[in-house]
Amino acid sequence: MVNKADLEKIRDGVYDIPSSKEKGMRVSARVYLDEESVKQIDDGTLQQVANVAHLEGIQKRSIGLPDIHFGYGFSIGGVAAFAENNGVISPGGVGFDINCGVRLIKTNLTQEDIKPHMKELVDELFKKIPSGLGSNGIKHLKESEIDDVLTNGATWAIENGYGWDKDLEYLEENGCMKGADCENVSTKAKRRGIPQLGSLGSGNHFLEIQTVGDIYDENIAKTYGLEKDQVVILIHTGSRGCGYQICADYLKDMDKVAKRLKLDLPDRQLACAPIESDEAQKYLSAMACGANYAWTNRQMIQHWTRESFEKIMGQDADSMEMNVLYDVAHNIIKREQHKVGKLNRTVYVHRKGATRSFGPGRKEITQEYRNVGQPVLIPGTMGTCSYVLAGTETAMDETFGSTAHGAGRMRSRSWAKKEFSPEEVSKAMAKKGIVLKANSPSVIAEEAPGAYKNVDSVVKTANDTGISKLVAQMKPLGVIKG
Amino acid sequence: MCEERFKYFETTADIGIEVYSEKLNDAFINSALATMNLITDIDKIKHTTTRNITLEADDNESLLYDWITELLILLDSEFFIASEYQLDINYKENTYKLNATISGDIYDTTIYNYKTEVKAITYHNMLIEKDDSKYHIRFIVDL
Repeated sequence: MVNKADLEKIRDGVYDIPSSKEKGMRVSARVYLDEESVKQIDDGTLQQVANVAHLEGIQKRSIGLPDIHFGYGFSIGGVAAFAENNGVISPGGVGFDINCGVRLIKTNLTQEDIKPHMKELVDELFKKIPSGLGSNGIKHLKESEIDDVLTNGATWAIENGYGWDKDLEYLEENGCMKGADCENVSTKAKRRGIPQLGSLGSGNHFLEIQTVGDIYDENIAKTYGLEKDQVVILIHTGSRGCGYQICADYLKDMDKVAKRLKLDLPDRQLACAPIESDEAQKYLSAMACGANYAWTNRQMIQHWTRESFEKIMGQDADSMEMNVLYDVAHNIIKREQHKVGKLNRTVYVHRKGATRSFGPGRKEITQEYRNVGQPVLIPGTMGTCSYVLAGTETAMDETFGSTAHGAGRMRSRSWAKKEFSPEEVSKAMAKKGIVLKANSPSVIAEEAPGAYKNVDSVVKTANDTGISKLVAQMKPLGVIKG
Repeated sequence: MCEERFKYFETTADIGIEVYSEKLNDAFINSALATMNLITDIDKIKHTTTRNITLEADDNESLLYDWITELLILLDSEFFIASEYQLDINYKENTYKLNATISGDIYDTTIYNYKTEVKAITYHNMLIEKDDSKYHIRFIVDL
């Protein structure tokens, strides 16, 4: 077992647990934490980072990012890359909400422009965008159409009138992950997915109208098209029941593989299969389907966001320049090229609660942003700031091009419900001038910012350790919550 | 009524469920009630329609995993939520088989309250054991 005492400081905010600290670790474990977080982190979470270091074919190190917290198998805020020739694939390294992610939409409006319309805007968005438990999206999706969604992702949405062709350029994988084979997605996952397509869901998912506050890097902000007081919209949601079911199905399959191959796993939720195995390949293609579902989902929600703004502001979305800044995945496996030692290697990077943070020059980044690194979108919690950062060289060198993804829950939901009443939370938000509309009072209490790690300190650590670079801060004006 | 049949325990991000029952089938029923009660006050759900469920698994843990998953699928795909359960578990030729008839209603948030969404059951720290007199089930759901 490893614990806090095993942390060896590499530099400010960066600590390693050497592989010699626990039998079976193939590589070291590394965490990116400020001093306060080192004090607070529990040994169970550190153990999870160390557990991942046991898996076959892991490269360089197992990584815990500044927002790391306890997950199942892999921690949330965890990254691990496995060599193509001898590594493994683990659905627990992605999590249930495949391609849970964030999309940021720009406008040419300012806070002054929308202030008089805030309540109407929030009401309209709440009416138009299905949210909450079992929230159902467009009701007319035919059974045969789900396969097209899973195969083609955001392209399907655009072909069906949900958005603009140019949106695709600003989505990771252009909103459609290759290798998606809907034959590998169970009927159960499809059944869960059909009614929910085009819905926000519940829990920590949200849609927020925000305004750009502080700018930390004028040059990069300009490249991304951001300026102070500009109104932007952040959408945070994922693959809904479809993704949950894909994960549940394959966790079970992998559990069988792990038993068959007698893999010595420190935790059943780490169930995995060799990359070349049939099970791993099938999971990857099903995961791609789940990721495509999520991009479609965010694409549709974006479309209704544009429509809502058009109706309330009385202008068309085009004239309000409601363009996508970027769309990032927080839970996903990607096949990527990375430098390991002196060699360029093909690895399967598992990001669970982590954002890709590719530095300048990577061909995966759209041409417009390539010189400054990709946009990294880090949402806060309800009522707190969110941030735009940029990918860096340090991330390429140290974290397989990855950084934090959000605030990270620190206290349990029941603690939050005991500590805060929904009325109190709503009142505190109103006091800050934030318009909040939510489906469930208990979700408001459970999601109280006090239950989360402070997102400001998360992005500061990500910036100070160099794994991403702060560009801009966004302040919430209106929140739609599931 | 429900609260006596199961208990919740805290985890950082999600919630744990603990059940003690004299019979395994009752323990499975109470596990289902506990999960559904996270979503809505389950004892308020009327019995207007039924569904039949048949499942097979290699061990009890997998059977529990499939059982809870099946109920979440019914909720997402048919909006069906059950509050009354009749259930049998048989062990035959190395296979655990579950047969259930469940009664409930179409879950409509304008009629029933909504507390939180349950994404999935996990294997994390899952336990099914029997001491002298009771079955003890413990598992964590991802919210």
